Amino acid sequence: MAEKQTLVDELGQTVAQVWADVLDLDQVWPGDGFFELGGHSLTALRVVYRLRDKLSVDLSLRDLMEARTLAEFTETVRTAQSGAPARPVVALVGRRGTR
Amino acid sequence: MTTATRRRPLVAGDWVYRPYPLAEGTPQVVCFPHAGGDVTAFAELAVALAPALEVWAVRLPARGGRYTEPMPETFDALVSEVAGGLTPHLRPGSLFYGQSFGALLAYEVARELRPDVVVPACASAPAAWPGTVPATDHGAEDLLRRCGLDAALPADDTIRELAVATIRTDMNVCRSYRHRADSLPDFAVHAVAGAGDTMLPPAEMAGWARATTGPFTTSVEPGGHLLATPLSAGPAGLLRALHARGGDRVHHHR
Repeated sequence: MAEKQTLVDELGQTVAQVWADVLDLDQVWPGDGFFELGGHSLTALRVVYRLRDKLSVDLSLRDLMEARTLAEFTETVRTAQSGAPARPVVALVGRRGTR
Repeated sequence: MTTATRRRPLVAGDWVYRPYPLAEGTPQVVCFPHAGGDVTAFAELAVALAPALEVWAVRLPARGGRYTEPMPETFDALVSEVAGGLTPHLRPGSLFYGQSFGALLAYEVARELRPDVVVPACASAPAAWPGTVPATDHGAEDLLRRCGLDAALPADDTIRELAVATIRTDMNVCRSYRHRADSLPDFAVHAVAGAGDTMLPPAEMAGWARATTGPFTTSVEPGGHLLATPLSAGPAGLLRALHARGGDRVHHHR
């Protein structure tokens, strides 16, 4: 598992590039946290929208909120990519379970 | 991209975030976010205060990078956790700035940690808080609208629900606040009103005079209920002036 932290594949690079663009940083690392790098809910939403467009993957804002690191979030994206058919694109998350 | 890339922020433990890290020993402005707010509210302020002063923002649980962590059950517990988290990083001569809910938190944490100056913005005085926090779900929605966040947030259900949930979390912890009028602190208090604040009449800020036995001053600054936001620096000039004045006072007395 440790290799995953250093060996960044194409998907990892795509996700990292989106983070770096949205956060306006030169470089982000697998161990970085999105909010620790200065992200907030609006920029988080931008990441989610961009990745949904780029990868046609069903992601929610909460997926990013709950991932502690770039590496963790990349795995969330990977799972969503290989998972069941995407839920309707309009629903970022269900309306329940938000409190 | 034509703009220079941003400076990388630093996190110091669970409770402290440095949006724009400066040289060690730079005088500190400790910033406490509004209800539902996070450290990024002070990113522009940090840039505006550099290189004279560095923003050290308080990272609260239940939002942003601490989204999965619960808020302490009571206001007292929150105060002691914040004080504990700040202590290893705090140097003498610091200034505390808090807006709205953050003003109350800044004041109570200051009673533990004794900075030179406390700057509450757009908040009722501590004695006026108990019993005034809205008690319903509508309170949070209403707060979102009246803070001007309603227009700032995109028409996205999730992000609005998250924002309201965080505001509700903060209002809940506020509801357990009890003001202790005994043993008042003696740090300087400068209370700031927002010229365009529709939530709190600027005259309310005068009540802060009774929150300290030390010097009290007040002023009105441009802005609404939230002076510092991810998009606006807030009262950078005022904070610089207050810091300079604090330094003078210490200098004269020694």
